[in-house]
Amino acid sequence: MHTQKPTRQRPSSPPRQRRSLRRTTDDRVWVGVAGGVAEQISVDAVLLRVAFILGAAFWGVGLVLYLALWFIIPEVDSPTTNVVRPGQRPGRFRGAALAVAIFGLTWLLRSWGWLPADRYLLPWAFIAVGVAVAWGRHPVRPLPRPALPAGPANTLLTDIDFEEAADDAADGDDVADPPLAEPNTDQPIDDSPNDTRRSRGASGPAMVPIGTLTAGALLVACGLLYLADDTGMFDVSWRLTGGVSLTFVGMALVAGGWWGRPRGLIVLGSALTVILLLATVLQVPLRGGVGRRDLRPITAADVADEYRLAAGVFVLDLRDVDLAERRDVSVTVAAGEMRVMLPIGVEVAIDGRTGFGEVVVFDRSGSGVGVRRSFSSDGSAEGLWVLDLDVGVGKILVEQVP
Amino acid sequence: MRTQDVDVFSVLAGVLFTGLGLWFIVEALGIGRLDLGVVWPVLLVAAGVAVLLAARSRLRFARPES
Repeated sequence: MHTQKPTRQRPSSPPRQRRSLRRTTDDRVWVGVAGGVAEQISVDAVLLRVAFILGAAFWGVGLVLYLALWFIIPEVDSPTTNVVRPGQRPGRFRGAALAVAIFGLTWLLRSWGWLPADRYLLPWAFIAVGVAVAWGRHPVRPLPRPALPAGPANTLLTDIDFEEAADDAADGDDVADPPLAEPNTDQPIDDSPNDTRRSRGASGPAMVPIGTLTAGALLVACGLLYLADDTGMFDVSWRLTGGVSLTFVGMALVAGGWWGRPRGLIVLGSALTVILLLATVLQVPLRGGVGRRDLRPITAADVADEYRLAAGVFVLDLRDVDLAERRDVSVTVAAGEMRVMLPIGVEVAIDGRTGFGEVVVFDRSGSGVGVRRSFSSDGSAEGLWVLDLDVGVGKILVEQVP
Repeated sequence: MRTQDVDVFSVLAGVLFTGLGLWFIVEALGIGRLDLGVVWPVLLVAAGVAVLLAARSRLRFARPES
């Protein structure tokens, strides 16, 4: 027999108050950029700081972005936002102070010649910041629970076992809801511990700060791997380190889905993914200057083995060169256009690659992500040009011109 | 037995990042090659699934009362 379940009105969530983006004054390590952005997008500020640090390791992108945000975002008008409860943050600041101290000490030892190279600075900084993040005291927050409407209906709601209800919801069962009266908004919720409406919603199973702990452990691990690579213990590529880090973040997120709800790690994982994909696409060295460069060598001696351009247009006209023997030439343009002109009928072997853009080698063309086009003349003859062409983002055009 | 509520978004994102991370490891070790033409569709599919899940959870709360 079908029995109609009693229904209740689901509490409508309170209207979200959107504040304008401001740099905070009370959750800051440097100028409050990460704290302010974290408050705006509701993620842990520590994770954003880690993302900025990781970004700084890749061509300084994180540092530039941080400085740009510092310039763009105004400071908060009053310290009433981001209220920090007494005793909540000092551990983290103490950790940051330790990080700065280690960083300075490393710098000092390097300047005295006791540390051989600059490269040791970065891994130690990673380790120090990682220890600071993980060592800082983290408040144990309760898991979020459904907001309760004000009014006498709450005297009924306080008798509901929310964990049981969550189990039912997870199992796909409808919760046997008790009948509720209209929410009474006349009675405000007070902050007293006797007010069961608030205390019930605020309490709950403890949330493990899995995101912060993961970020700290990750930085320490990256620093140790970096150090091991620099000291020659083993060869660790940045791609392997990034892959291991991303896998680590992913597994922490899966585990945290049950124990900590660490959605801030999604920001860190996304940043890592973007950085790794960009670095995979842009495998071209960022060297050689910026602008337009037109080269038209006359003899084989005028042709260099390699050409580099960071950004711009590079034109290599080889029509006047009469080769007597095989010649290998490598050309890279990190971002921009590369044009190579060859005389008609010359024997060539060409390998053109771009991370993102278009490659046209004679009648062979392609565009998109990770494009590669090759061409090789039949047989080999004297005067064979072997051209290795790389463009990070942009276009490669190889053509035969009379 | 009482079970903890699972955060689907975290688990989904975790699986995606784990997969991508393993992919980068495989490429770094020279076992396979990372085909970027496949990565973007995978990210798009994951984003789509996340949007569908978000819409589903919203629909559950916006369901008209009988």
